[in-house]
Amino acid sequence: MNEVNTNHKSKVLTIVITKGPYISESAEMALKTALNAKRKGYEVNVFLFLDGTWISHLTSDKNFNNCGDWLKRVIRKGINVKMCDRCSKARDLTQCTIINGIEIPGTYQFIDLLKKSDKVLTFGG
Amino acid sequence: METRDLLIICIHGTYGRDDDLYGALLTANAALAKGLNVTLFFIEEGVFACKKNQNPMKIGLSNNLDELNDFLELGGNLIVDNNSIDERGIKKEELIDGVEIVDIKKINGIIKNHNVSLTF
Repeated sequence: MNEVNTNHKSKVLTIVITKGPYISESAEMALKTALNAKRKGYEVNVFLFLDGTWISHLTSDKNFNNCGDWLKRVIRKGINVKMCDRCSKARDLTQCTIINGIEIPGTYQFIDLLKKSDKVLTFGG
Repeated sequence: METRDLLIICIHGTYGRDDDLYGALLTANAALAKGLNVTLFFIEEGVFACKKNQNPMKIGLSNNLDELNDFLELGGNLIVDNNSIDERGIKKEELIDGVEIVDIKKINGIIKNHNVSLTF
């Protein structure tokens, strides 16, 4: 009988996005990186921080490039997406006004996410 | 592996540049409160954040020095790039107490000493 290696554990990658959509390519590059990392076997987290939280607000279809679609694809692929509670409140973003499937934890949960990560990449600037 | 050492690199100036610095300080202080070793590294325009006697009240903004002082009181390491202050004509005496000035050549070593780095 083949033995399943239960000791194998995926490396954890956390991607932090600090800039909103349509201001630079940061957000899209971050989400594409998340998808590629997931495909390569990483356990991936995406954390929307500061103006990065605006990406969650792109709920509708558009006839041009849509960062919200990339975020929906990320969620569909089982990537864990969270966004900063304080940043969301500052921008009046609530569960009713954002894409489904995003958690809104506090700053301490963000720190917990960093602690559990093998690699952290920041996209912004 | 659990991250114990967090490096936060601040490259943008304070006030008027979205809320990058505030986000960095919020994260830094929360990480210290959760027991991590945290280093804030100010480079390029970020060095202005460490100037003494800032008074953004005149433009209706709160002062980030309060968060920086909290960071130092909680035991965080505050370092500033030597070249960046020289290029901007900032003297060491103009910086807040508790800042360590380092040469950019040491940045590789600083990054290696931390498990995780974030850039704001």
